[in-house]
Amino acid sequence: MPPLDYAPINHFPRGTGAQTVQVTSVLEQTLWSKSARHRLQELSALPQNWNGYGSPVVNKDAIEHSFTLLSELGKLGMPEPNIVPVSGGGLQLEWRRSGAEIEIEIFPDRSIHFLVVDAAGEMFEGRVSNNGNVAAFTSITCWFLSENKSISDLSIYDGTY
Amino acid sequence: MTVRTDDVSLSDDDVLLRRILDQPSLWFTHVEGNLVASSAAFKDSLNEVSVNVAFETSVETVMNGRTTDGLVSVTVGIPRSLDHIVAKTSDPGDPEDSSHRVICPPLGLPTKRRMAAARRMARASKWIIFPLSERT
Repeated sequence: MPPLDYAPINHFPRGTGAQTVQVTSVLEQTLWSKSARHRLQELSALPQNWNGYGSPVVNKDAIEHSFTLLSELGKLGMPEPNIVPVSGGGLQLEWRRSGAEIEIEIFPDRSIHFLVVDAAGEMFEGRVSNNGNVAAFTSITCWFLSENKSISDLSIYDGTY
Repeated sequence: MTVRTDDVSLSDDDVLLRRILDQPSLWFTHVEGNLVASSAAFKDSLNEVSVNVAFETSVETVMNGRTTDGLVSVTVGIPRSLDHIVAKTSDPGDPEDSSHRVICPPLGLPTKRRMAAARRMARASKWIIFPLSERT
């Protein structure tokens, strides 16, 4: 289990000459941070073969990367996701709102795939490499939080970052 | 990874069974009031989703004593319609169960179609046994 009490250092604002860093998770600043952290801890405790189909435990890197991603998405104003284990060691974050859906799957190798669905059922799928920039989700987040969501309003180049 | 081939002995109407862990995050209540399995229930990081062919087994055998799990069904035609295959397995370590199959994308299927396919399979699935948390 990663040290969920602490966010990566680059999440903290740089002070002006301060000698100390306030070790406060950005994720904790969101209303849903505690329950999300608790949920990640629960999932990290799932045993080998948790699904009866031989799945390995949820991968620690996937949990750590999910935590980082949730910190970023929380700052962008996203509501609390449904956090789901995926057979094979990954995790999935899910949001549903006004008929629109976002699914973000975090793989054990830290790569990220996402699926966006609008109220009409139109879908858009893409991926972020394991070295990818989670800022790629800015446009998806803005789209999700807006009214009158349609896939055609989503300004993503080709779904690969 | 082993190269899989579609089990042509199965018709599109044959039924596949998949257990779902009693974890409320693995399903949600649709706006129409029905319980819907999460697409995560039809995913595997290794791209092989285990299922059992219904006519080659029994619900009791598939549940295998996992009394709190739920069970959903999906017809073979659904993954096939999404360019997936339903393949037999015979690798070392695979379940010694003749009804066991794996749903997997064929080689060459763009990765970008994987999540949409899992979502469509989940939406097409039907509950046979609700997970314990949803039983009244």
